[in-house]
Amino acid sequence: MKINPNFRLRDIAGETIIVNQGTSDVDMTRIISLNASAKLLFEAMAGKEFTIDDAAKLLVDTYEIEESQAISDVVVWAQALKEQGIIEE
Amino acid sequence: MITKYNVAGHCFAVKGDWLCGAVAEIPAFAPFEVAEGDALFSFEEGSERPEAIKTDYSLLHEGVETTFGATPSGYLLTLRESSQCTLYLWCTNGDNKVYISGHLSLHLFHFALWVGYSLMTLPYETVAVHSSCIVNLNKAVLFLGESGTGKSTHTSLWLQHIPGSSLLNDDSPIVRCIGGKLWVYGSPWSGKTPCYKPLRYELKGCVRLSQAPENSIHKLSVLHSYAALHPSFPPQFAYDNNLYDYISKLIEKVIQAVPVYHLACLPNRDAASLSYRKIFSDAENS
Repeated sequence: MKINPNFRLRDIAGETIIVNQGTSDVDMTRIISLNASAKLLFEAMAGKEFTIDDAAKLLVDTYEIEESQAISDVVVWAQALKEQGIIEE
Repeated sequence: MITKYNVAGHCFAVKGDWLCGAVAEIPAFAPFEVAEGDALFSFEEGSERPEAIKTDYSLLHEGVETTFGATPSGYLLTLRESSQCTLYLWCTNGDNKVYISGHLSLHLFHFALWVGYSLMTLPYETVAVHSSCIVNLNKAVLFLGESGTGKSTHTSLWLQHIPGSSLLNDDSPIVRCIGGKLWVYGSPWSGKTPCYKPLRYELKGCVRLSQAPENSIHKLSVLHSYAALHPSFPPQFAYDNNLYDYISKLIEKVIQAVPVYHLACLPNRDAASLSYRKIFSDAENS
């Protein structure tokens, strides 16, 4: 999977967000807020193909958590961003 | 022939008899005409119109099809009323000329000037915000909301019931950040209300309106403030990452400078009193 390069992280007054503008014929703007680990994953995985395991390894290395925990966290993160079209297969 | 205008502290020139004659026919511009000034950019008649390579935005509204998109080296706006009645506006990145060609129907031209002005001034922390703007105690308050929500109705309630209120603009005041301070300027674009004032006031707060069976107001978090402001900034520029970067940074400046509220309201006097009290009393320095 990979992150759609059209989306940018924006740091706004202490929050990290992604603005999903949708298309001009469908008024469906969504503002997605990312916490610190979601931002870390986004920045590390942007611009390349990656797998759930790649992303989970980053969480294990950064936060020293169990691999099973990291995988389930990454699955939730990836699913949420897929629903917004921000991550594509 | 050259005429000059100053809107939100930015001077621009309109060049050539064709365009100058057309602007002179739009009464909204007269209060903004200046005898001299260093023009930041100019509107000129164009001949070699570039082709769009990407359409960012298109909308059919009141019989006018608006299309905005990127060309190989800039942006192109097309306003089409019919095949005989189409106006084009374009600019090139790094250049301070805005070119216009086609049919100069006055209402299309009036809107095209808004787009051209917005494109040229965005890098200077300046943007038009779709809102109705009230001035009270020498400060400006922006009321935002989708068309038909009752922005103008709410500001007219302020004019009726809140002493010292005046209307700065009813559709498209200009917000500009200067040294971290946010200012709101009157503009030649005010929707259906002829309110064209070459004045500026410091921004006090922003209020997003929605209709409700009873009145209530609350201050929004950073995230909700962003979501409340975003839809009122020019939608034409929201699909282009470079243009939207300017908008996003300005929204951040607004959020950092002033509170943003959500007002759920009825169209009555109590709603105006409630928003006035919240903005000018208990919101002080909060």
